[in-house]
Amino acid sequence: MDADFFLIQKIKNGDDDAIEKLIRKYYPVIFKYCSYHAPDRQNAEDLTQETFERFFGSLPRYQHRDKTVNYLYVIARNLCRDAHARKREILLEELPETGENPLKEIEEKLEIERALKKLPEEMREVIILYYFQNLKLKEISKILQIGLPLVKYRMSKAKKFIRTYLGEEDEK
Amino acid sequence: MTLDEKLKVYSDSQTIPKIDEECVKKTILASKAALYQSELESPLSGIDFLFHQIRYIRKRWWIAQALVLLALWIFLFISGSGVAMQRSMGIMAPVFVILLLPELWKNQSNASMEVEAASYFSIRKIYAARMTLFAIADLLMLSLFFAVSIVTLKLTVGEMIIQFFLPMNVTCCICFRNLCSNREESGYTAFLMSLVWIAVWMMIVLQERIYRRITAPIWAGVIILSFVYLIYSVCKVWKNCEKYWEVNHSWN
Repeated sequence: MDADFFLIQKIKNGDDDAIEKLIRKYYPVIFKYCSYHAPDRQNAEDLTQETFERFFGSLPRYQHRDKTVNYLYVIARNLCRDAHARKREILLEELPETGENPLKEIEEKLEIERALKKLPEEMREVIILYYFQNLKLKEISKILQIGLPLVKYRMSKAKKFIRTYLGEEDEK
Repeated sequence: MTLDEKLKVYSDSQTIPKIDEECVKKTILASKAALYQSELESPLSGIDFLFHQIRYIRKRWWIAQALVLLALWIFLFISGSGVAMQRSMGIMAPVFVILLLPELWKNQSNASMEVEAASYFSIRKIYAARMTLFAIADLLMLSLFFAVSIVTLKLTVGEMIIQFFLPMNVTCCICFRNLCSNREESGYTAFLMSLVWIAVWMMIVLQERIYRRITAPIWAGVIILSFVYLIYSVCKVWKNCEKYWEVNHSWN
Protein backbone atom coordinates (compact mmCIF):
# COMPACT_ATOMS: atom_id res chain seq x y z
CA MET A 1 0.00 0.00 0.00
CA ASP A 2 1.50 3.28 -1.06
CA ALA A 3 0.53 6.82 -0.13
CA ASP A 4 -1.81 7.00 -3.10
CA PHE A 5 -3.86 4.10 -1.74
CA PHE A 6 -4.88 6.15 1.29
CA LEU A 7 -5.44 9.19 -0.88
CA ILE A 8 -7.76 7.22 -3.14
CA GLN A 9 -9.66 5.87 -0.14
CA LYS A 10 -10.12 9.41 1.17
CA ILE A 11 -11.41 10.52 -2.21
CA LYS A 12 -13.86 7.61 -2.33
CA ASN A 13 -15.05 8.61 1.13
CA GLY A 14 -15.82 12.11 -0.07
CA ASP A 15 -12.72 14.09 0.89
CA ASP A 16 -12.50 16.96 -1.62
CA ASP A 17 -9.07 18.06 -0.42
CA ALA A 18 -7.67 14.68 -1.33
CA ILE A 19 -8.81 15.21 -4.94
CA GLU A 20 -6.85 18.43 -5.12
CA LYS A 21 -3.81 16.79 -3.51
CA LEU A 22 -3.76 14.00 -6.06
CA ILE A 23 -4.11 16.35 -8.99
CA ARG A 24 -1.41 18.71 -7.79
CA LYS A 25 0.86 15.74 -7.21
CA TYR A 26 0.61 14.35 -10.74
CA TYR A 27 -0.36 17.32 -12.86
CA PRO A 28 3.27 18.27 -13.72
CA VAL A 29 4.31 14.84 -14.98
CA ILE A 30 1.14 14.25 -16.96
CA PHE A 31 1.29 17.75 -18.42
CA LYS A 32 4.92 17.18 -19.42
CA TYR A 33 3.97 13.87 -21.01
CA CYS A 34 1.08 15.40 -22.92
CA SER A 35 3.37 18.21 -24.06
CA TYR A 36 5.42 15.69 -26.00
CA HIS A 37 2.37 14.63 -27.93
CA ALA A 38 0.33 17.78 -28.26
CA PRO A 39 0.99 20.32 -31.01
CA ASP A 40 0.84 23.24 -28.62
CA ARG A 41 0.50 24.23 -25.01
CA GLN A 42 -3.24 24.70 -25.13
CA ASN A 43 -3.73 21.18 -26.43
CA ALA A 44 -1.40 19.79 -23.79
CA GLU A 45 -3.41 21.50 -21.06
CA ASP A 46 -6.65 20.18 -22.52
CA LEU A 47 -5.27 16.66 -22.73
CA THR A 48 -4.02 16.86 -19.16
CA GLN A 49 -7.36 18.07 -17.91
CA GLU A 50 -9.17 15.37 -19.80
CA THR A 51 -6.82 12.73 -18.39
CA PHE A 52 -7.76 13.67 -14.85
CA GLU A 53 -11.43 13.98 -15.72
CA ARG A 54 -11.44 10.46 -17.12
CA PHE A 55 -9.54 9.15 -14.14
CA PHE A 56 -11.98 10.60 -11.63
CA GLY A 57 -14.93 9.65 -13.81
CA SER A 58 -13.88 6.03 -13.53
CA LEU A 59 -12.80 6.23 -9.88
CA PRO A 60 -15.82 4.35 -8.46
CA ARG A 61 -14.67 1.34 -10.47
CA TYR A 62 -10.95 1.91 -9.88
CA GLN A 63 -9.10 -0.81 -7.97
CA HIS A 64 -5.78 0.35 -6.61
CA ARG A 65 -3.41 -2.41 -7.66
CA ASP A 66 -0.50 -0.47 -9.02
CA LYS A 67 0.88 3.05 -8.96
CA THR A 68 -1.82 5.60 -9.65
CA VAL A 69 0.53 7.52 -11.93
CA ASN A 70 0.84 4.51 -14.23
CA TYR A 71 -2.91 4.44 -14.64
CA LEU A 72 -2.86 8.15 -15.41
CA TYR A 73 -0.20 7.52 -18.03
CA VAL A 74 -2.41 4.87 -19.64
CA ILE A 75 -5.29 7.32 -19.88
CA ALA A 76 -3.06 10.11 -21.13
CA ARG A 77 -1.51 7.83 -23.70
CA ASN A 78 -4.88 6.78 -25.05
CA LEU A 79 -5.91 10.42 -25.30
CA CYS A 80 -2.67 11.51 -26.92
CA ARG A 81 -2.70 8.71 -29.47
CA ASP A 82 -4.53 10.79 -32.02
CA ALA A 83 -2.84 14.01 -31.05
CA HIS A 84 -0.52 15.47 -33.60
CA ALA A 85 3.23 15.14 -33.13
CA ARG A 86 4.61 17.81 -31.00
CA LYS A 87 6.03 20.76 -32.78
CA ARG A 88 8.05 23.08 -30.77
CA GLU A 89 9.80 26.17 -31.89
CA ILE A 90 12.98 26.60 -30.07
CA LEU A 91 13.43 30.22 -29.30
CA LEU A 92 16.89 31.65 -29.01
CA GLU A 93 15.95 33.13 -25.63
CA GLU A 94 15.34 29.62 -24.28
CA LEU A 95 18.86 28.45 -25.00
CA PRO A 96 21.05 27.94 -21.94
CA GLU A 97 23.98 30.18 -21.77
CA THR A 98 27.02 28.10 -22.50
CA GLY A 99 30.31 28.75 -24.11
CA GLU A 100 29.41 26.36 -26.89
CA ASN A 101 27.94 27.32 -30.15
CA PRO A 102 24.20 27.54 -29.45
CA LEU A 103 23.31 26.99 -33.08
CA LYS A 104 25.07 23.64 -33.00
CA GLU A 105 22.95 22.66 -30.04
CA ILE A 106 19.81 23.73 -31.85
CA GLU A 107 20.83 21.64 -34.80
CA GLU A 108 21.42 18.57 -32.65
CA LYS A 109 18.09 19.06 -30.92
CA LEU A 110 16.27 19.44 -34.20
CA GLU A 111 17.90 16.32 -35.55
CA ILE A 112 16.80 14.31 -32.54
CA GLU A 113 13.32 15.76 -32.82
CA ARG A 114 13.13 14.85 -36.47
CA ALA A 115 14.38 11.35 -35.67
CA LEU A 116 11.76 10.98 -32.97
CA LYS A 117 9.05 12.13 -35.35
CA LYS A 118 10.08 9.54 -37.88
CA LEU A 119 9.91 6.77 -35.33
CA PRO A 120 6.87 4.50 -35.39
CA GLU A 121 4.39 5.47 -32.70
CA GLU A 122 4.99 2.48 -30.44
CA MET A 123 8.74 2.98 -30.43
CA ARG A 124 8.51 6.71 -29.86
CA GLU A 125 6.30 6.04 -26.87
CA VAL A 126 8.97 3.88 -25.26
CA ILE A 127 11.66 6.51 -25.82
CA ILE A 128 9.49 9.29 -24.38
CA LEU A 129 8.54 7.31 -21.31
CA TYR A 130 12.07 6.09 -20.63
CA TYR A 131 14.22 9.08 -21.46
CA PHE A 132 11.89 12.01 -20.98
CA GLN A 133 9.54 10.83 -18.26
CA ASN A 134 12.30 8.86 -16.50
CA LEU A 135 10.22 5.76 -15.97
CA LYS A 136 11.62 2.28 -15.44
CA LEU A 137 11.20 -0.40 -18.07
CA LYS A 138 8.87 -2.38 -15.81
CA GLU A 139 6.63 0.63 -15.34
CA ILE A 140 6.63 1.24 -19.09
CA SER A 141 5.62 -2.34 -19.65
CA LYS A 142 2.62 -1.88 -17.31
CA ILE A 143 1.57 1.42 -18.84
CA LEU A 144 1.79 0.13 -22.40
CA GLN A 145 0.34 -3.21 -21.32
CA ILE A 146 3.02 -5.18 -23.09
CA GLY A 147 5.62 -7.60 -21.85
CA LEU A 148 9.02 -6.46 -20.63
CA PRO A 149 10.88 -8.23 -23.45
CA LEU A 150 8.78 -6.33 -25.96
CA VAL A 151 9.59 -3.03 -24.26
CA LYS A 152 13.29 -3.82 -24.46
CA TYR A 153 12.91 -4.88 -28.08
CA ARG A 154 11.16 -1.65 -29.04
CA MET A 155 13.74 0.36 -27.13
CA SER A 156 16.62 -1.26 -28.95
CA LYS A 157 14.88 -0.93 -32.32
CA ALA A 158 14.14 2.73 -31.62
CA LYS A 159 17.71 3.49 -30.66
CA LYS A 160 19.01 1.68 -33.72
CA PHE A 161 16.65 3.68 -35.88
CA ILE A 162 17.72 6.97 -34.32
CA ARG A 163 21.39 6.11 -34.70
CA THR A 164 20.82 5.26 -38.35
CA TYR A 165 18.92 8.48 -38.86
CA LEU A 166 21.62 10.52 -37.19
CA GLY A 167 24.16 8.80 -39.41
CA GLU A 168 26.06 7.21 -36.57
CA GLU A 169 28.00 4.02 -36.51
CA ASP A 170 26.75 1.22 -34.27
CA GLU A 171 28.09 1.87 -30.83
CA LYS A 172 27.65 0.32 -27.50
CA MET B 1 28.61 11.34 -27.18
CA THR B 2 26.67 8.10 -27.14
CA LEU B 3 23.06 8.05 -28.18
CA ASP B 4 21.99 7.61 -24.58
CA GLU B 5 23.88 10.72 -23.60
CA LYS B 6 22.45 12.67 -26.53
CA LEU B 7 18.93 11.68 -25.57
CA LYS B 8 19.66 12.57 -21.94
CA VAL B 9 20.98 15.99 -22.97
CA TYR B 10 17.94 16.50 -25.17
CA SER B 11 15.64 15.54 -22.31
CA ASP B 12 17.43 17.86 -19.87
CA SER B 13 17.31 20.68 -22.36
CA GLN B 14 13.56 20.45 -22.61
CA THR B 15 12.30 23.14 -20.32
CA ILE B 16 9.47 21.85 -18.23
CA PRO B 17 6.49 23.82 -19.42
CA LYS B 18 5.42 26.33 -16.84
CA ILE B 19 2.23 25.17 -15.23
CA ASP B 20 -0.65 27.59 -15.32
CA GLU B 21 -2.32 27.66 -11.91
CA GLU B 22 -5.64 28.59 -13.50
CA CYS B 23 -5.49 25.42 -15.60
CA VAL B 24 -4.77 23.35 -12.51
CA LYS B 25 -7.77 24.86 -10.74
CA LYS B 26 -9.92 24.26 -13.79
CA THR B 27 -8.75 20.64 -13.83
CA ILE B 28 -9.57 20.22 -10.15
CA LEU B 29 -13.10 21.57 -10.63
CA ALA B 30 -13.69 19.49 -13.74
CA SER B 31 -12.38 16.36 -12.01
CA LYS B 32 -14.66 16.87 -9.03
CA ALA B 33 -17.62 17.29 -11.35
CA ALA B 34 -16.67 14.13 -13.23
CA LEU B 35 -16.39 12.19 -9.97
CA TYR B 36 -19.76 13.36 -8.65
CA GLN B 37 -21.44 12.63 -11.97
CA SER B 38 -19.94 9.18 -12.06
CA GLU B 39 -21.11 8.45 -8.52
CA LEU B 40 -24.61 9.55 -9.43
CA GLU B 41 -24.65 7.22 -12.40
CA SER B 42 -23.20 4.20 -10.71
CA PRO B 43 -24.61 3.60 -7.25
CA LEU B 44 -22.93 1.21 -4.91
CA SER B 45 -23.20 -2.46 -5.57
CA GLY B 46 -25.12 -4.52 -3.02
CA ILE B 47 -22.01 -5.75 -1.27
CA ASP B 48 -20.47 -2.26 -1.16
CA PHE B 49 -23.69 -0.91 0.31
CA LEU B 50 -23.71 -3.60 3.01
CA PHE B 51 -20.13 -2.71 3.89
CA HIS B 52 -21.12 0.95 4.17
CA GLN B 53 -23.97 0.01 6.49
CA ILE B 54 -21.59 -2.08 8.60
CA ARG B 55 -19.52 1.06 9.09
CA TYR B 56 -22.56 2.97 10.32
CA ILE B 57 -23.69 0.29 12.74
CA ARG B 58 -22.02 0.81 16.08
CA LYS B 59 -20.15 -2.36 16.93
CA ARG B 60 -20.57 -1.84 20.65
CA TRP B 61 -24.03 -3.42 20.52
CA TRP B 62 -22.67 -6.56 18.88
CA ILE B 63 -19.94 -6.68 21.49
CA ALA B 64 -22.59 -6.27 24.20
CA GLN B 65 -24.60 -9.12 22.70
CA ALA B 66 -21.53 -11.34 22.66
CA LEU B 67 -20.87 -10.45 26.29
CA VAL B 68 -24.45 -11.36 27.23
CA LEU B 69 -24.02 -14.79 25.65
CA LEU B 70 -20.67 -15.21 27.35
CA ALA B 71 -22.11 -14.22 30.73
CA LEU B 72 -24.99 -16.63 30.23
CA TRP B 73 -22.61 -19.45 29.37
CA ILE B 74 -20.51 -18.69 32.45
CA PHE B 75 -23.57 -18.67 34.73
CA LEU B 76 -24.75 -21.96 33.26
CA PHE B 77 -21.29 -23.46 33.62
CA ILE B 78 -20.87 -22.36 37.21
CA SER B 79 -24.35 -23.41 38.23
CA GLY B 80 -23.90 -26.82 36.68
CA SER B 81 -26.76 -26.17 34.25
CA GLY B 82 -29.37 -26.64 36.94
CA VAL B 83 -33.00 -26.51 35.97
CA ALA B 84 -33.58 -23.11 37.52
CA MET B 85 -30.56 -21.70 35.75
CA GLN B 86 -31.64 -23.16 32.45
CA ARG B 87 -34.99 -21.50 32.75
CA SER B 88 -33.30 -18.26 33.61
CA MET B 89 -31.93 -18.24 30.12
CA GLY B 90 -35.32 -16.75 29.32
CA ILE B 91 -34.16 -13.50 30.94
CA MET B 92 -30.97 -13.22 28.96
CA ALA B 93 -32.57 -14.08 25.64
CA PRO B 94 -34.76 -10.94 25.49
CA VAL B 95 -31.81 -8.88 26.78
CA PHE B 96 -29.88 -10.17 23.80
CA VAL B 97 -32.53 -8.76 21.49
CA ILE B 98 -33.09 -5.53 23.43
CA LEU B 99 -29.48 -4.60 22.78
CA LEU B 100 -30.43 -4.20 19.11
CA LEU B 101 -33.02 -1.54 19.83
CA PRO B 102 -30.70 1.47 19.59
CA GLU B 103 -29.52 0.45 16.14
CA LEU B 104 -32.91 -0.63 14.86
CA TRP B 105 -34.34 2.75 15.86
CA LYS B 106 -31.34 4.73 14.70
CA ASN B 107 -32.94 6.05 11.54
CA GLN B 108 -35.56 7.74 13.65
CA SER B 109 -33.43 8.91 16.54
CA ASN B 110 -30.68 10.49 14.46
CA ALA B 111 -32.76 12.00 11.66
CA SER B 112 -30.50 9.83 9.57
CA MET B 113 -27.33 11.47 8.46
CA GLU B 114 -26.50 7.95 7.36
CA VAL B 115 -29.60 7.87 5.23
CA GLU B 116 -28.39 11.03 3.49
CA ALA B 117 -24.99 9.50 2.98
CA ALA B 118 -26.63 6.39 1.57
CA SER B 119 -29.24 8.45 -0.21
CA TYR B 120 -28.88 6.70 -3.53
CA PHE B 121 -30.73 3.81 -1.95
CA SER B 122 -34.28 3.88 -0.77
CA ILE B 123 -34.99 3.65 2.91
CA ARG B 124 -36.46 0.25 2.22
CA LYS B 125 -33.10 -1.03 1.07
CA ILE B 126 -31.43 0.55 4.06
CA TYR B 127 -33.75 -1.31 6.41
CA ALA B 128 -33.24 -4.51 4.46
CA ALA B 129 -29.48 -4.09 4.63
CA ARG B 130 -29.50 -3.42 8.36
CA MET B 131 -31.81 -6.31 9.16
CA THR B 132 -29.69 -8.59 7.00
CA LEU B 133 -26.55 -7.53 8.82
CA PHE B 134 -28.11 -7.95 12.24
CA ALA B 135 -29.49 -11.34 11.24
CA ILE B 136 -26.12 -12.54 9.97
CA ALA B 137 -24.21 -11.27 13.01
CA ASP B 138 -26.72 -12.62 15.50
CA LEU B 139 -27.02 -15.93 13.69
CA LEU B 140 -23.26 -16.39 13.88
CA MET B 141 -23.11 -15.50 17.56
CA LEU B 142 -26.07 -17.67 18.45
CA SER B 143 -24.85 -20.63 16.44
CA LEU B 144 -21.55 -20.49 18.25
CA PHE B 145 -23.26 -20.10 21.61
CA PHE B 146 -25.64 -22.99 20.97
CA ALA B 147 -22.88 -25.28 19.74
CA VAL B 148 -20.58 -24.50 22.65
CA SER B 149 -23.38 -24.76 25.22
CA ILE B 150 -24.67 -28.08 23.94
CA VAL B 151 -21.19 -29.56 23.98
CA THR B 152 -19.81 -28.10 27.18
CA LEU B 153 -22.92 -27.72 29.32
CA LYS B 154 -24.65 -30.88 28.18
CA LEU B 155 -27.84 -29.00 27.41
CA THR B 156 -30.27 -30.56 25.02
CA VAL B 157 -31.31 -28.86 21.83
CA GLY B 158 -34.92 -28.87 23.04
CA GLU B 159 -34.01 -27.05 26.24
CA MET B 160 -32.01 -24.48 24.30
CA ILE B 161 -34.91 -23.88 21.94
CA ILE B 162 -37.52 -23.55 24.67
CA GLN B 163 -35.47 -21.66 27.22
CA PHE B 164 -33.55 -19.34 24.94
CA PHE B 165 -34.76 -19.35 21.40
CA LEU B 166 -38.47 -18.97 22.16
CA PRO B 167 -38.22 -15.95 24.50
CA MET B 168 -35.73 -14.39 22.09
CA ASN B 169 -38.10 -14.93 19.20
CA VAL B 170 -41.01 -13.35 21.03
CA THR B 171 -38.85 -10.35 21.92
CA CYS B 172 -37.92 -9.99 18.25
CA CYS B 173 -41.61 -10.05 17.37
CA ILE B 174 -42.23 -7.26 19.88
CA CYS B 175 -39.38 -5.16 18.49
CA PHE B 176 -40.27 -5.55 14.84
CA ARG B 177 -43.94 -5.03 15.49
CA ASN B 178 -43.14 -1.74 17.19
CA LEU B 179 -40.78 -0.80 14.39
CA CYS B 180 -43.86 -0.90 12.14
CA SER B 181 -45.44 1.76 14.29
CA ASN B 182 -45.92 5.37 13.21
CA ARG B 183 -45.55 6.59 16.76
CA GLU B 184 -42.60 8.61 17.81
CA GLU B 185 -41.95 6.73 21.04
CA SER B 186 -42.17 3.26 19.52
CA GLY B 187 -38.59 2.50 20.60
CA TYR B 188 -39.45 3.03 24.24
CA THR B 189 -42.64 1.04 23.80
CA ALA B 190 -40.64 -1.86 22.41
CA PHE B 191 -38.27 -1.69 25.36
CA LEU B 192 -41.07 -1.60 27.93
CA MET B 193 -43.00 -4.37 26.26
CA SER B 194 -39.83 -6.49 26.22
CA LEU B 195 -39.45 -5.99 29.96
CA VAL B 196 -43.07 -6.98 30.49
CA TRP B 197 -42.45 -10.06 28.39
CA ILE B 198 -39.44 -10.98 30.53
CA ALA B 199 -41.60 -10.73 33.63
CA VAL B 200 -44.33 -12.86 32.05
CA TRP B 201 -41.82 -15.45 30.92
CA MET B 202 -40.23 -15.66 34.32
CA MET B 203 -43.67 -16.15 35.87
CA ILE B 204 -44.31 -19.05 33.51
CA VAL B 205 -41.02 -20.89 33.83
CA LEU B 206 -40.33 -20.37 37.49
CA GLN B 207 -43.74 -21.57 38.56
CA GLU B 208 -43.41 -25.29 38.41
CA ARG B 209 -47.13 -26.04 38.33
CA ILE B 210 -47.62 -23.82 35.26
CA TYR B 211 -44.44 -24.97 33.56
CA ARG B 212 -45.24 -28.68 33.94
CA ARG B 213 -48.60 -28.22 32.27
CA ILE B 214 -47.04 -26.99 29.06
CA THR B 215 -46.38 -30.08 27.01
CA ALA B 216 -44.06 -30.50 24.04
CA PRO B 217 -46.76 -29.95 21.37
CA ILE B 218 -47.73 -26.68 23.02
CA TRP B 219 -44.14 -25.55 23.04
CA ALA B 220 -43.80 -26.55 19.41
CA GLY B 221 -46.96 -24.67 18.48
CA VAL B 222 -45.86 -21.54 20.31
CA ILE B 223 -42.44 -21.66 18.69
CA ILE B 224 -43.90 -22.06 15.22
CA LEU B 225 -46.39 -19.26 15.87
CA SER B 226 -43.63 -16.94 17.07
CA PHE B 227 -41.61 -17.75 13.97
CA VAL B 228 -44.49 -17.07 11.63
CA TYR B 229 -45.31 -13.81 13.37
CA LEU B 230 -41.65 -12.77 13.27
CA ILE B 231 -41.48 -13.35 9.53
CA TYR B 232 -44.73 -11.45 9.11
CA SER B 233 -43.39 -8.51 11.18
CA VAL B 234 -40.11 -8.37 9.30
CA CYS B 235 -41.92 -8.39 5.96
CA LYS B 236 -44.26 -5.68 7.19
CA VAL B 237 -41.32 -3.52 8.26
CA TRP B 238 -39.69 -3.95 4.91
CA LYS B 239 -42.81 -3.30 2.84
CA ASN B 240 -44.13 -0.35 4.80
CA CYS B 241 -40.96 1.39 5.87
CA GLU B 242 -41.58 4.18 3.41
CA LYS B 243 -44.66 5.10 5.37
CA TYR B 244 -42.73 5.30 8.58
CA TRP B 245 -42.30 8.12 10.94
CA GLU B 246 -38.91 9.44 9.79
CA VAL B 247 -39.93 9.54 6.14
CA ASN B 248 -43.20 11.32 6.87
CA HIS B 249 -41.40 13.62 9.26
CA SER B 250 -38.77 14.46 6.69
CA TRP B 251 -41.37 15.26 4.07
CA ASN B 252 -43.14 17.50 6.58
